[in-house]
Amino acid sequence: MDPTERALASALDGPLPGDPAAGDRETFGLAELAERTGVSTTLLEALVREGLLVGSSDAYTQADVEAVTAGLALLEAGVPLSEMLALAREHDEAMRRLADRAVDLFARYVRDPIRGTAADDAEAAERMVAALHGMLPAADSVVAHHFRRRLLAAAKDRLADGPAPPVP
Amino acid sequence: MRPAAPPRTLQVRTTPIADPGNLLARLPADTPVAWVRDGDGLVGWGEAARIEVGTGTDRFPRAQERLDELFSSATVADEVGEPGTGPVAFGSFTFDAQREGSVLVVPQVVLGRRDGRAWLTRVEGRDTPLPDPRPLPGPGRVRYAGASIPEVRWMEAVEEVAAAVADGALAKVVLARDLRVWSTEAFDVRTLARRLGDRFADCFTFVCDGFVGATPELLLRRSGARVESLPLAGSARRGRDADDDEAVGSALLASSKDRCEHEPAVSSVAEVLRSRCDELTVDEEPWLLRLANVMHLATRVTGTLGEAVPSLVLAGALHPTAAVCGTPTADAMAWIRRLEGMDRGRYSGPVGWTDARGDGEWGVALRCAEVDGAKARLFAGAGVVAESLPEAELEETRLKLRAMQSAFEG
Repeated sequence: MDPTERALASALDGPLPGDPAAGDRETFGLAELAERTGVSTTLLEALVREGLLVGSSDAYTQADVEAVTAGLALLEAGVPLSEMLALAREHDEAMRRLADRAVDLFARYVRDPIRGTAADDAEAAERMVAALHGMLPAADSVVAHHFRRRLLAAAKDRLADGPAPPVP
Repeated sequence: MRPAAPPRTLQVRTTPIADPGNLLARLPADTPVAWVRDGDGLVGWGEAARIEVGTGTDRFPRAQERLDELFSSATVADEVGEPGTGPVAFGSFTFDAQREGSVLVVPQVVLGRRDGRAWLTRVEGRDTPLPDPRPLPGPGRVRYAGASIPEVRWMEAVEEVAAAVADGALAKVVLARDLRVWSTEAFDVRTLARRLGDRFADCFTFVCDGFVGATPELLLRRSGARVESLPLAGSARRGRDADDDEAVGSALLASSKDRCEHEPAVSSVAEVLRSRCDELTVDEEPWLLRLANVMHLATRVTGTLGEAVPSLVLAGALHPTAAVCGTPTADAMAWIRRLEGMDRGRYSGPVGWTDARGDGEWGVALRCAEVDGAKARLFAGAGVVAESLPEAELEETRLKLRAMQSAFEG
């Protein structure tokens, strides 16, 4: 990696805008995550294998605890675990493709122009990290907002359509 | 449990009839029974006789004895003389020999069709006309009411079994789970059977004593001296499109994990039949059986019996196959009893029919539901071997459950 890439790699390891406060950055392993969420390690290991619990295996944080707990709340409403996992797989597949595309766009339209126009490595590194810090929360916001709107629209469409056709 | 019908002398008459159209559409509400594939087969109604089979490892030969008594004293006029003519008993048996619930029913009327020939059998001879086919009201709103054990517990059971298999304690265990469905009105098994027959035409749609389903798996068909079985084990989803389906199919054929599941299922069937057959043919390689929502590895086993063993007794000797229990059988059964946390009822047991000559068709009851008024239990299972992952097995059972769920949802 060149100096600007090293700076980017270091920035990606955090802290990043939108990350929890210093106190919540404590990391722990899977067994501890199971403890804190009350979820079986069997299930957590399955989530890891499926790529649904993303991140390095010994560095789970409070954010992961909150995400798993949120997942549990969905289950409590009565949707079977098997159905949630199937939906999560489809969601993950779509997300992977989008994430790859987004990184591709960053490389082409942000990183490469910065390298081409920066006076030196230090300026390139600074501008690259600033771009990352600006774009990440923006991406979060756009994706979350859009998904929420899509979900609400789908629910309203379904109400308007009446009874659903048989599911294959 | 209903009281057994008193023993009586059956007066049976089978006559050829003009094509009656959709067999399942003819079923009245009165104790329907059915065994239909690709539109052909048998349907019946009324109860001329009923045998509560009871429990025990000898329940199949004992049930056959009671049928023999009943049929041998019958007066029969059979103008057609095919498998499934004359007096016929429909049966459904519990998976676990220790569990109650196995039953044989001789309907009062049977309507049959095979290869363009149709017939009508009446027991006790009242010449009432055939009921007209008519559409049925849909069921009330369906509500899912959970499973006997939480899904994560089932996943933990898969993990425990996979570890035991990896340790060499045993070779395979099939673990099943259930899904409860409730409604505001009593379920009509005829509606469910019609939908299954329409959507899964290449499966055997069956109805027997409140037990309904559409199974792809033929346990045993006997026609004269010819016997046939189609063990299935090893599954995958269907593809999202033709290319994906091709790829999924190739992967399944190449999957050593699925072969490990499949081979014991085939050899357990071949072993039982080989000792009773003069000749036996087993497909050299498994092939893909594609159904609407899943695909399976399949191997056909055919043979010629050396002795006249009734189809019900053969089905009993084959049950349980490694496709629904595991290997070794007794060890797998012990694991199932310890870990499944539920009664399988008649799921994965033999279901089908036999006539008085011992010809018959028996399937392994898969893709099915035990229906009781406005409540039903659906079932699905998966074969667990060393490489099994809990989430993958859970997903396999989800796909299998969807087949029955779609029949309940409309």
